[in-house]
Amino acid sequence: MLFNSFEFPVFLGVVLLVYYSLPHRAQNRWLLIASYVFYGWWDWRFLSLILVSTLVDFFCSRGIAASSDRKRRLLLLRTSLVTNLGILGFFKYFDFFSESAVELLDLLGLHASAPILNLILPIGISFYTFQTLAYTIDVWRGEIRPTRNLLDFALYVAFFPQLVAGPIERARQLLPQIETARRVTRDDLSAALQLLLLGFFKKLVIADAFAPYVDLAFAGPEKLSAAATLLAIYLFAFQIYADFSGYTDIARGTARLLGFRLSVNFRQPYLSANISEFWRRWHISLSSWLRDYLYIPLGGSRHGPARTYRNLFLTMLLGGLWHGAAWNFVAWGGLHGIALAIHRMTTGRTVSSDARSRPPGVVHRALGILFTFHLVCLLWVPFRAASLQEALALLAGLGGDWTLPVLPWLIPSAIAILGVFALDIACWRKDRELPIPDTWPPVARGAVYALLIVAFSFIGTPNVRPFIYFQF
Amino acid sequence: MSDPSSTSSSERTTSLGRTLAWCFAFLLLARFGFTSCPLDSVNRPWIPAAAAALRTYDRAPVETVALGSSLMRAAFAPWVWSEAEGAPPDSALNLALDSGVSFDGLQILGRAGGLPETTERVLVEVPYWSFNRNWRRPGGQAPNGPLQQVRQWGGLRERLSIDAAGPRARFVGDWLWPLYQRRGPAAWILRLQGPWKPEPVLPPAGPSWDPARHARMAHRARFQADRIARDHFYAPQVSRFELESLDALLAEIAKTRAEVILVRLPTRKAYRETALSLPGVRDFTETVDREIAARLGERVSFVDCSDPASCGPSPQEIIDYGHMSGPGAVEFTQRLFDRTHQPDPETSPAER
Repeated sequence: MLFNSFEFPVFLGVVLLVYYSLPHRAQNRWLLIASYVFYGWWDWRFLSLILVSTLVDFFCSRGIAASSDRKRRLLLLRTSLVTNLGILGFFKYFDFFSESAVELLDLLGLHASAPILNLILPIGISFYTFQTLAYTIDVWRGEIRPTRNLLDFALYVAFFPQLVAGPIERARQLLPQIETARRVTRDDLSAALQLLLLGFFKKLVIADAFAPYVDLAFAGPEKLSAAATLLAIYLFAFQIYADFSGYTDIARGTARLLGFRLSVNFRQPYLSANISEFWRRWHISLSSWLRDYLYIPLGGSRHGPARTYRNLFLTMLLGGLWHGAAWNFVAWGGLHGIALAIHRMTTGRTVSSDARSRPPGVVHRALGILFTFHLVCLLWVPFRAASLQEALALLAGLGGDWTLPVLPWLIPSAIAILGVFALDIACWRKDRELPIPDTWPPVARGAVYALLIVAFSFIGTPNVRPFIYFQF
Repeated sequence: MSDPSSTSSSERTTSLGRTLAWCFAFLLLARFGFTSCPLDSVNRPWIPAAAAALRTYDRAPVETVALGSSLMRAAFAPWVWSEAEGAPPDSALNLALDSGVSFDGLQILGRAGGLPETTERVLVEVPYWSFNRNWRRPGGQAPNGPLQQVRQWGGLRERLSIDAAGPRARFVGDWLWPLYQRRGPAAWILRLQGPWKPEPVLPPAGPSWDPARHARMAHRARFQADRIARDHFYAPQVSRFELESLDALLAEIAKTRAEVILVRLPTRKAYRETALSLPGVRDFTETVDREIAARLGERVSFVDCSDPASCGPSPQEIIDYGHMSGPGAVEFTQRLFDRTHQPDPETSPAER
């Protein structure tokens, strides 16, 4: 079920109506049923995969916590890893590796064939797999105690607001909220209202308005002028930000209506002054997962500069592959890894630790933001392109003529982007989570909320488009 | 100054309540603003008006009916056609609507209770863009999904009479909060010039171009042609819905003895060239041509006038990308009549 479908408001209304009338334990059961309905709405057969992950991780982590025998604990951890990564690998990567192996053999002059299964990628599999893996690894590390309640754990895995596209919640953050009684306060309702309106505004007014132009540009880059190509790249940068952060806002707003607080996943990423800061502000739940469960186990920055650069590169390479089973995602991740390594290299050599501790000047920071934004935009090209060839074709178009495209219908959405940036800057300057604080007078807040509703009612496209991150 | 974090729970409750109250008040104001703001010509409920015009037409027995978009509205001069046929004056009727497609024609005939028995021929415009499911309305705004349906169900009573519960809920909802009848920025600017009242009557049949507007648009003709081609052929993809609507329209007309002439109207060269240069358009137009060819038969013929060299008018009489001036419409209607009454059968579009 899509958040921006006609079914979702009805579904959420029914869920809330029953939820508010139930005691805590019954609320959890009801949310579990609702979560399975939410997921099964798309394809109920794939619920079995969630159930397998849930059962394996629940019992493996219980076994790990109960045992002091290292071999047995390791066996249980490996069982969890193999099961989860096996399911993910089979459904998401089988065809990719199969095709790639055949292509490689072809290059070597050996003609071979391999089975292509054309499997449907189960929605949200990358997200809930990482969530359950993190749980078992945390139990194995002794950082958390496993839950005793299977149904609570099942809800942790399948909690519908964040099931299909995150944020990837850690057990220490979400499980206690499931296990203890929740109270939905007026603050929660106020925050939820703001998050939901902002989320729909970003999705319907910005992301979906830019999407057709971006689709067309990436499908036929040879027909575009250089200016039109550059515009398509910029628009995709805004589209993916509005789409994904809009989804996250809706997820967080929905969770707040239920009394849950989900992690912040975006902190004004396009205001980052360097690539390292960008990754601390973009898809925070994934980048922190990659840091804790990949980069640090690989050695992090503990074994000298060369190993650090290698670890950064490998982490981002696998982060790219997590997004999709295609070489363009691998290239995107790899290029980000190189950028991070170069940033690490240059800041490590040119700036003393004393200088690093000082905040940069306004001009320095502004230049940093401008450079980082353009670097990120450029790196979005392989991410959005259907193949590496398409990405290169699009980039080659930047050398053409500079006839400006005339796109009047983008003007309202372009104004909306400026509005979102203004809200982002307000959050950034005041270090706030929500752009519209409770300290604003009700008339001002009411006006902004009405403006958001009017905007997504009348500027937003009526054609429902799925969220970009649903495909991952 | 008090610390905002120390605000009490009851104050917050009041604050949230007041915020919602203000939000609701602003929304009501916006709702009022929308309805006093002019609906652009495309979104007005023309279908009921056109159907009523056909049903109650009593100036002369109807012999020829023209259906299509604003291009057909501008291009087809009914009095020229009647005179050329030697039929009574006013026996030809131009029921083309702004952005009109086959679905609209079907709805007009359905609401009018079918074609009058006296009808001998129906001219149906079949522009390529009408078969593109992703076409955009010229002048901007995102694609309008349920555009035709909104035009079909103009008033609340009609919306309540829709049989299926889903569409009924959507269109009654639209009456309350006009989600589908969105007004673009241009409409809001027009509103500043004065209040607007809906006028559910058709504009005068035939071309009615304001010379000042003609001069303005002629000045920007190439720009218009280029931009509108990009709107019309945006991410071209054949609309099954529109093809099925065309089939249903042909079936409706086949209930009478009238013959059908499918027409593709003249457009400016820049428009056609831009369209063909866009990705996927050649494949798209070939598919549409094949689909139209498959529908030709004894009582259904096709006339391709897309190049003004074949049916006129003189290029200077095409104002923007394809709308004709008054003199251009007179010239074109006469030549179209000659073309459709020539002894040689038309070639099907797929054979061209």
